[in-house]
Amino acid sequence: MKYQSFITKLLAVVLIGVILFHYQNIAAARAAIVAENEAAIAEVEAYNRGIQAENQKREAAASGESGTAEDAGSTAMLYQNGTYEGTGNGYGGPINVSVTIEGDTITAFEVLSHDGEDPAYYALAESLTETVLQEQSADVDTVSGATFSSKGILEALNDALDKAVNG
Amino acid sequence: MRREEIESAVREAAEKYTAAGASAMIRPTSGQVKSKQESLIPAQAKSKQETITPAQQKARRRRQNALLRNVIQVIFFLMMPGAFVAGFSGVKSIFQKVSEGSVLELNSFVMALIGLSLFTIVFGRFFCGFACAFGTFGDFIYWLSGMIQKKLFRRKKQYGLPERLSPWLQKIKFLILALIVLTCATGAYETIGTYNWNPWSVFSFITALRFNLNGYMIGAVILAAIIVGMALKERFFCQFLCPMGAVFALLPQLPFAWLQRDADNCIKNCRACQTCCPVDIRLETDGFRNGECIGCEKCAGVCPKGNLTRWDRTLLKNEMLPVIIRAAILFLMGGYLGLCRFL
Repeated sequence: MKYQSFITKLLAVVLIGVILFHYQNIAAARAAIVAENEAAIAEVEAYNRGIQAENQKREAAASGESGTAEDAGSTAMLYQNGTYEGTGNGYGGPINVSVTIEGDTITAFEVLSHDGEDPAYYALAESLTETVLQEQSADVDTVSGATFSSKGILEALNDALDKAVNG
Repeated sequence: MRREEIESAVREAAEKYTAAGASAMIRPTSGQVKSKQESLIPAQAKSKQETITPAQQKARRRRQNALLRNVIQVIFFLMMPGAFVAGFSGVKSIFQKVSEGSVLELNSFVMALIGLSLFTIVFGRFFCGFACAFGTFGDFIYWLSGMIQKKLFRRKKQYGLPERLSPWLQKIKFLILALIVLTCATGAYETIGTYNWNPWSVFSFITALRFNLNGYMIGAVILAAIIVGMALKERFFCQFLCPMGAVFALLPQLPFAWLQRDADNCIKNCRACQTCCPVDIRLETDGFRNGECIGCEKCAGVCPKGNLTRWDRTLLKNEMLPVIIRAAILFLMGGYLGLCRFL
């Protein structure tokens, strides 16, 4: 038959598509359950934290040292508050980022310039900024396939964090 | 080897003869009134001065087509050197998501895969023949190897692998694809850390003019081996090893995307198309149907009778325009998908 190979290949591709579609539905259902559980856990944790904070306040009020506690905390911080810029080597050139730190937390992290990266690769590596904000760490996995752009962003982040280190 | 050389020489001579025969058949029409002996001399003199014979015209057209192909290849090489990697990263990304059990996402790599696949379904493997940076690199290495062999060692015929091995070696790429998909889907790709085996990563360093290969030594060695293969066989990587090529070969390419060969009209035992085919398609038995055709259109250029046609070539009455249109569509699509470095 003239179109035998075309039809077999078409059927194979349709089959793969159907399998992936089913997989997607199952994975989405699972992800929804996981998200629900995480939300429940977060709620409980927030509640616990609230109680802990209240207890601490009560203790602090009881011992009467509420004024100096905060000052002591700020000298023990690892990073200075502020916005810092850093540079790293991406795939095809330097990547510049800016990091904002407040009270040892990264509150903002964005890429300022990425001229040397191919757009399709950079689009994936950019998701690292969110991962870094979530994990509060520069030690996160690179995006597979966009390894060099990812490494560039993380290198730039480390560069910026080095500038922010206290002392 | 010697027998093959003789065979190829005979074939070349036959090509020239048929082309000359065709020209002899056409040329006398201008001087039909005169007797043959009289008309021969002025016709020859005339052809030297202004007009060229159909054979020369054909050779010139072939050179122009080859030039067009090379220009398109260079443009894509400079503008979209990461397109083939992005497309295949789409495959890997899908199966890595499966290994994690997480939701598939339409990230830029998957979009590149879908875009290139749709283009290939509609237009055949034009991407392989004209736009893939690694294919262009292979063509360059093979050309370079041929030049060196001709100039330094005065060989008329380039060293190469025997043609009859090709159909078997062409199956290797499906094994490679299966292996990569399996390692991705089981999560082994990340845990073993085979990323530094990837010769494409090393190649991408070179296209980005970075020469620090730390941690990628295995990939560099594999790339070096591939380069040796490329020097020995045209489109060595594309037809034997490329996992993206395997994906393309498995896609249901629409039959009207290919050239059609009018076998009934062929000169007996000509084989010109088969001899020039870089991926050794056995047109007599397989036709274009097995997905191996990379759409380079060399066969259409070499056929002494113009027996290889396609609807758009016939419709536009032009060989170059369909190529330019395809290249433009691919370029716009690549730009839209973020594969172009300078957009």
